[in-house]
Amino acid sequence: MHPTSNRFETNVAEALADDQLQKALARTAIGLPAARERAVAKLPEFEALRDDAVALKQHVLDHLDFYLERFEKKVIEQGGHVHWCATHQEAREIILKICRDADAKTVTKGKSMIGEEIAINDYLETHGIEPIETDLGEYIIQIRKEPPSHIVGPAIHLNKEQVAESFRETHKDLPPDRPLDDPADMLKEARTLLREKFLKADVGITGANFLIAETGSTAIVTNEGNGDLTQILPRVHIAISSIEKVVPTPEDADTVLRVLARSITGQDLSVYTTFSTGPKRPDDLDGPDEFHVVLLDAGRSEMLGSEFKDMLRCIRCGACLCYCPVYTAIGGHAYGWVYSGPMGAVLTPAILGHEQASHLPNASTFCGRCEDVCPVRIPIPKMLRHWREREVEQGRTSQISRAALAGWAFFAKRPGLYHTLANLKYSVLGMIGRKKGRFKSAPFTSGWTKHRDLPSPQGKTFQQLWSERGGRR
Amino acid sequence: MSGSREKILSTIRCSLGRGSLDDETAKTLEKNLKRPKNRLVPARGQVKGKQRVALFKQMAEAYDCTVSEVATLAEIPKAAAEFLRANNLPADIRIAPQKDLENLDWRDGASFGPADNEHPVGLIKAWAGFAESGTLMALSGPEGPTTLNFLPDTFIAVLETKDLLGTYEEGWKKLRGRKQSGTFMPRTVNWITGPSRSADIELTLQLGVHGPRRVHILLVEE
Repeated sequence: MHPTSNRFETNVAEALADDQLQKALARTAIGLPAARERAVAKLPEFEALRDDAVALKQHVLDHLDFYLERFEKKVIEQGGHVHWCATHQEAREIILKICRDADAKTVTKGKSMIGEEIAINDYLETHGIEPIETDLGEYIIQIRKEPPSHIVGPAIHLNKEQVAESFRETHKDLPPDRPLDDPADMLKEARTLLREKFLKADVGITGANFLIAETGSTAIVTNEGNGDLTQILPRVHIAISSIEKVVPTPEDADTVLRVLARSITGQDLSVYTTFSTGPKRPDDLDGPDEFHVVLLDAGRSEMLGSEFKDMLRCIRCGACLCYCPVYTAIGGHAYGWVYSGPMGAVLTPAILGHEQASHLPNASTFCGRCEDVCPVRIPIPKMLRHWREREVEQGRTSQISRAALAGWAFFAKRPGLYHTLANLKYSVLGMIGRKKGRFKSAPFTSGWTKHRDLPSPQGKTFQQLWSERGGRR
Repeated sequence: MSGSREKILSTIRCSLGRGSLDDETAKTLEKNLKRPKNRLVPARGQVKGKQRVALFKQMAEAYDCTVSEVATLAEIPKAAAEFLRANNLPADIRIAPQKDLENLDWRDGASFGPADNEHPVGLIKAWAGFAESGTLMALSGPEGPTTLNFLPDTFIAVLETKDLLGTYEEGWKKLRGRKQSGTFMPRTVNWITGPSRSADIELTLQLGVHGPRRVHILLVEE
């Protein structure tokens, strides 16, 4: 997809005015955090497991070259292939080549954020191969030609009427008057249609939650079972992954698995956790004949040496999105690319380049909930601050904000003048607003008052109270 | 993309401020792979005997499985048929070609082998189970077709209590102990925790998206 992160301000205005989206976001902001909190309450070791997961990820990042080479060696020993790709384009090209070598007409896909990142569907389609997303949410957004709005729930922004409408428009062979009022009707329809696609596909592409260095296995976590049908039915299985997904042993994956699903859906474990090692063995009864792993860098090896290194711990649970007051107000599409919310605001500028997404790090109130709920304790607010510093250093801030800050700095450096003016402002506002206690509108505050009233100053200022209590300056 | 391989590895090393790992460190890391680090394992799954069985049942049922207890393996065909009849499901069972199962007295309509789209019911013998989360573990191989776990609408898993483990770590330990040439990992290891599910439409939980709609576990206490 073509990133629209640079249109962030326009995207936000549109999102705030979209009533349907606002309802969907309200559902997300309540439902998922509640599920996480129930799961956490049931596992006394949850906090300690987070610490273990952090230590594991740090260890891997510090020895990333060793574990990747070890992983590669084992994949080859099992008869699989590893393709190292420095860029999105390289990854697209090698996947197309594998598909062409397999004479593929259709390709089924399990859910993969790397697949979204390299926009593999568009690329295959342009080259005459039909890609079919099989995760229900991904399928819905594929037929609507939309990017995912959440890394775990890609269609979380839609209501069932919109899904029904898209099904009617796309599945033209079915009776137009069939009932599609209930999500169960749509599920049944998608299951039947996609089952045929699974059985016919020549190549299956999945993502990878883990790469296991000891055994050369890739592992995926799904709830639907689509990732499994994608990899066991076609002749060729391609697993696509970014380089930081490697862990030393299967036991190490256990630690991450114990914090992954709990952090988002509140499950102890997702329904299907699948470890895949090489192609089908000689005496196996089913499974793919070929096994390929596409390893994508796309900026990550450089992040490793930057102040954004900790971001590479991310396990893509999506918890930070659901807890973020900004994400839950504007949704994922406003961020303009495949990653959204707090993790997207850090990652998108790192992958696409700061100039492509310099607005995103400003989309934060710095409330810190993202860091509080992150299973691998990524200091997201700190990294957003790093991006903001770069924005200032590189002179990317707008003239208005530079002028406003210079004005504020003028007064802030002159405390006497600052306090006199501030006291004047607050007493005037307090007097005018005394009756109602709030304003429907006020100069320079339309961004706030369009959505809610502005409270008027109540009583004394902080500075006055501080002085009265004998506080030191 | 052999050029990319070198480029990625050298950028990683440059970012970490070092060259290739020295032999000593690489040897230690390699040795540690053979002896996985003892990480924190939650107390919940570290139970034995009756407590373990009770926890497994409780967790599996919480994830929408049904569980019934059977005294011996010989009773499996009858128990499976009863479950299918009680739920108005087709009686044709596709069964994993595993010795313990092949030796049982199955009625007509039962067959052995991998599944295709025409098989409404699949039955396997789970290689292990985890009480920690009510999870089944299945391995691919000559006795374990993976398609049986995913294509049929109804999935029945036989689990002997002697194969019921507490935690995931115990599963890996058991797998590492398997007599096997080459890697201890089969092509596919499946952990299954309940029927296939999705909440992709309006966060409404629905069962049976692509995998089985029903998972029934026959716990054999021999």
